[in-house]
Amino acid sequence: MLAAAILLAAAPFVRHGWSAREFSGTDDQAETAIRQVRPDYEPWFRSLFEPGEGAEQRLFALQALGGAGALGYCLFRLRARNRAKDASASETRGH
Amino acid sequence: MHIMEGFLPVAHAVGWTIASAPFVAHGARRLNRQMREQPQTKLLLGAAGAFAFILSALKLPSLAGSSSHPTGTGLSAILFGPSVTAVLGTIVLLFQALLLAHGGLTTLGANAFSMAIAGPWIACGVFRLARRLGAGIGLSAGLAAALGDLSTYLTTAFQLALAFPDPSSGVTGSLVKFAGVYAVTQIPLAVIEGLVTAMILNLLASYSRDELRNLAVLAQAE
Repeated sequence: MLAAAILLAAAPFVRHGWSAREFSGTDDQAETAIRQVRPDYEPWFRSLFEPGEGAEQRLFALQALGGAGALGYCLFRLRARNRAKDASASETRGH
Repeated sequence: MHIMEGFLPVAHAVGWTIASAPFVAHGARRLNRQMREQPQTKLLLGAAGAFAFILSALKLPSLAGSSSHPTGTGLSAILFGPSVTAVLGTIVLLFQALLLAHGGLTTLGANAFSMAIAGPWIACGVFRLARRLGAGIGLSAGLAAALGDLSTYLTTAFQLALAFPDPSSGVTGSLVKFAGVYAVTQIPLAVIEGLVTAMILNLLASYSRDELRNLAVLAQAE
């Protein structure tokens, strides 16, 4: 399953070449589509805080890293708890 | 799939916020009860929240030559149900709206409705149906997460179509247009999300079989 997931994620690069620039985000495409339907539409509210292009990518990476850290921590604790449970279960059976 | 800040007309922004609010409020009560009555599932809850955080931060390229995000809310929907997921998903969306300028406060209601409510409800329903038909947890979770992901994007397309009907072909014409923008990109990503969700659920099942039985994800006999 892991291999299939990685293959699917890597396949676009094989097909389109190694340049992230080519992969325009669907969010931007949606904005273009809105402008086609309603050329006069103006967003009526702006983000309170807007990171620049480079900072945005770093912030996304930071979010993923933070999430990965938290997930790793939870998995580690779950595994430790599971082992402790197994150990005490086999101990009770032993006596 | 996040609709950008300011990109929904005021009436729509308010409408979707009103539509989402009861789900999130009810979810907050359920989340409280979950933590009080089954405190041993807190680590699983943390894992599900963290998983949604990671997946929604990933910008994956798609075979179609564009890129998009998975949603990551399927796992939580499978483990804790759609109500609790409404809260987790909204927290992720709020975080991204405030700190990453991705999505927005005015579109939070609409984005919550698609990613934290519609997708998770479908994911939860698909998972239960697949389980009832005898599928294992891996396959069921994969299908659930993939279809939940697609439902989220279809909901977004529908929201945009309602707000921006095509001058000649109306809401239907716009729906085809917006769904076209997302669907092609999203299908391979939905499959990836399904695979990853299945893997992590299998892992969680091996670590906390008892909790998953209590959450009725696993049958008592499994």
